[in-house]
Amino acid sequence: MAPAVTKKIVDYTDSELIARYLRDQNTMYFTVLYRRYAGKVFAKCISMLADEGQARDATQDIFIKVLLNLAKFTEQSSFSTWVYSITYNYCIDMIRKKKKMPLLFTEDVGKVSKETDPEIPDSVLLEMKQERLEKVIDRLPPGDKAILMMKYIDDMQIREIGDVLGKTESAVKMQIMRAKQRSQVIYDELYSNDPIENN
Amino acid sequence: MKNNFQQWQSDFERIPPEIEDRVLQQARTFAAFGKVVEVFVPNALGAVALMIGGEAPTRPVAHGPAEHLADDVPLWRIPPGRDR
Repeated sequence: MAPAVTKKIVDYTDSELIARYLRDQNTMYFTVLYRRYAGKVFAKCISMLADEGQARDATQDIFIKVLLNLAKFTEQSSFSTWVYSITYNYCIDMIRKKKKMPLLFTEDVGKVSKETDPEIPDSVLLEMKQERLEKVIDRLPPGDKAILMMKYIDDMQIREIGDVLGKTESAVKMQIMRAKQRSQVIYDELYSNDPIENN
Repeated sequence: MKNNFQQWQSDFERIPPEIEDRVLQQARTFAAFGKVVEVFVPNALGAVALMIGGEAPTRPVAHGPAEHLADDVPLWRIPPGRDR
């Protein structure tokens, strides 16, 4: 007879860890969840806030928020999507408070594209060298930055992005298109003299 | 395989360990507080109910070996007209 296989705690799915944490209130389960997502949350905070000190505080606050709201997680989306949506909203709120103005999306900075503008293919962004991409992303308004991160880093569906930002699917599609156009404009401004990447 | 966005993001994923200590310390504090509330609040409510003239819970509310306690209740603590 084959021996009974006991599952290691690190092999539990997110849902299993949440259920066990809520049942036993044992922080060991939350520790596994934390270790699974803390790095990604911290990276998003650094990218959004551009300040390591603030990113540390934000990561701590976000995980406390996650802990306190764990019972409200309904599994309508994956746990990662839920954690990331808390992260993006937290960072956007922080930026809004810091700058004391809602400078979030491309239309807020005056360069509104028309619906007839040509669609920028994904490959334009996905084929940029990492160093250049970083500089382009850093110059985007926070909302555009967040929406591109959700799409290209977290592979979130349009509906999920809409849920995070409180926008309709068509508004999200439009926003992604504008963010890509804005990225293209920034890229051209930065590298018009050196369009071919030699590195 | 990671795309350039994911690669860029992974460069920042090294989280300082002290954040883990702080978050998990708070998690342990919340858990301990939750247990204290779970154990004491029902008893405290029972005591308040008694003080304002209500009836004490018929069974002990605290966690523990409750079954044998019912037999251990001294006679003088059983209200008149009620069986053990």
